[in-house]
Amino acid sequence: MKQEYRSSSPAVWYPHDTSEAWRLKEAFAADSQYIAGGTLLRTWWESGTAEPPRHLISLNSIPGLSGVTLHEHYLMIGSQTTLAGIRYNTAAARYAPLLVEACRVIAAPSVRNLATIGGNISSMVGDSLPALLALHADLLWFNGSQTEAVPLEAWLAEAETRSGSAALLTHIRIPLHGIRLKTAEEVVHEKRLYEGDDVLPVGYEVKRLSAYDKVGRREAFTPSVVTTAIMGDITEEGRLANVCVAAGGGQTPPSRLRAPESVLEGRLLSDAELLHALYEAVYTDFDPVGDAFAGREYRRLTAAGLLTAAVWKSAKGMAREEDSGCC
Amino acid sequence: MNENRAAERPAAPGTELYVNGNRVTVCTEPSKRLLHVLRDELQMTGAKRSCEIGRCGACMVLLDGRPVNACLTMLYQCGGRTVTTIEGIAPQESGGLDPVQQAFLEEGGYQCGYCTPGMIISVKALLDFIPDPTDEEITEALSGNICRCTGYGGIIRSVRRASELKKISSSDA
Ligand SMILES: Cc1cc2nc3c(=O)[nH]c(=O)nc-3n(C[C@H](O)[C@H](O)[C@H](O)COP(=O)(O)OP(=O)(O)OC[C@H]3O[C@@H](n4cnc5c(N)ncnc54)[C@H](O)[C@@H]3O)c2cc1C
Ligand code: FES
Ligand code: FES
Repeated sequence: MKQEYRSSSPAVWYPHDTSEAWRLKEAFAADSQYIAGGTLLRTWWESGTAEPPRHLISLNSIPGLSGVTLHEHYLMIGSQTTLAGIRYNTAAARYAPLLVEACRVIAAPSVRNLATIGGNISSMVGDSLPALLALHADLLWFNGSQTEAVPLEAWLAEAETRSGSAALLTHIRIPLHGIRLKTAEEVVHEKRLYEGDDVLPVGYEVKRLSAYDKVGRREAFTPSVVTTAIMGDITEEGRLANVCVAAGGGQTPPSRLRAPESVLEGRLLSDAELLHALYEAVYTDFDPVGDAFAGREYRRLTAAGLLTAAVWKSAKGMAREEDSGCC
Repeated sequence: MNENRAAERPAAPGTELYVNGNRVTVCTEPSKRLLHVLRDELQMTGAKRSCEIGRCGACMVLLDGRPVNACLTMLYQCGGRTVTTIEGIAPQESGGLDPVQQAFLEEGGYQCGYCTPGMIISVKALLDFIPDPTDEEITEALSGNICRCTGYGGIIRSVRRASELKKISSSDA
């Protein structure tokens, strides 16, 4: 059977730089769309959620938007970096393990070889978002004249009002909290410490509570029902500090959960009351969007269970470490 | 638009790519899916058409050695790049089979065979990257390939066998 094609298939443009891409988007406005891996756009076109636009502005050809680089105070990820590129990147594995775990469970390897982190973020419901929220990521947006850094949390809060804008996500910046570079004095401002596949043994990390979990009807293919991420430091005394809790999944816009964060902050990880209080706080604070397959209540219970289990596992791991340390 | 460096939009749509080692120029819409380019323009029907939304893996091909769904990949994304389909997996000179194909035959890694080209492509990509994969790595690598017949037992055996065959053939070489 011969496949039929729409006679007006989109024209594809290959801008040389971000300015050119932005000008094309401004000029073609609603008749155009930026395209990165195209995996989400294709899904929308096939499901009828959106029609293919008349002009596709490919971001793949713009130099400098792909790859992971380690800087003195942050990890920088180009928006055109594929999810597979992050999943197998050693610097990302070391300095942003939550994000690597998220990339490991988004879709399947073949989709991840095309799909970009920029497309995942721009969708506003991508499964990388809770991990990036917990990592306090900033987004670098090119707005036609300059590039501005916007905290992810602030961008998500205002994202709806920006729909249709020509702003182009160039990079994601993840601060290296709790990591001190031994060679800091040798590192000049902005110097890249990491490039390619080798990681330099430049730092040490404070003890961390760090977990990312995704629950879906199928592990690999379907949008998640619930996605949770939690990150915090564990002091020498065993107390939690700088805790960040985030959740999303499905059509729920990912957000930070402040009530569970304040329940955890400053508490001893070994505190017997902690898990119960955390469960209650997540259940009360998380306000997911339900659908015919997974209702709101189910999603709230799932998020509460996932985050409580993450803290429980961390506490158990620490207790084990202490036991083995004292013998 | 900057007049000196205007963004390129090829006037006559012709995309050059390398399919199974041969240079081909395809004159069709740049947003056409690679799956339809292969099957309809190049008459290579090894990559199968099924879900067409990236969910079953029947259309799997290698793009610069990495597995991608040909139903998601658009022609323009393949410009200047290397595409390997199931037709190009076996060594062309000897006319024999790739160890992965051989293993699927030996271990009964298929029944109706519809998923098999895609499975073989995914397994080839896995073993080229990780010659001796763990169970977890096999599960991850095949998570984008659905088989409605085998229950996966024969497929997993085939992966293990292919790994052995590859080791044998590289130690012989
Ligand atoms: C089979 C399958 C399974 C999937 N499973 C998951 C899953 O488990 N979890 C999940 O989160 N997603 C999933 N997805 C959705 C999708 O693959 C990912 O969200 C992917 O990361 C999108 O990236 P992309 O590069 O393909 O985006 P594209 O499709 O190219 O673009 C998506 C949107 O982002 C915009 N955009 C892209 N880049 C930029 C930029 N730099 N600046 C501004 N706007 C930009 C585009 O205009 C478009 O509106 C799945 C998709 C498929 C086909
Ligand atoms: S036809 Fe491409 S993944 Fe199903
Ligand atoms: S052998 Fe029939 S679908 Fe796999």
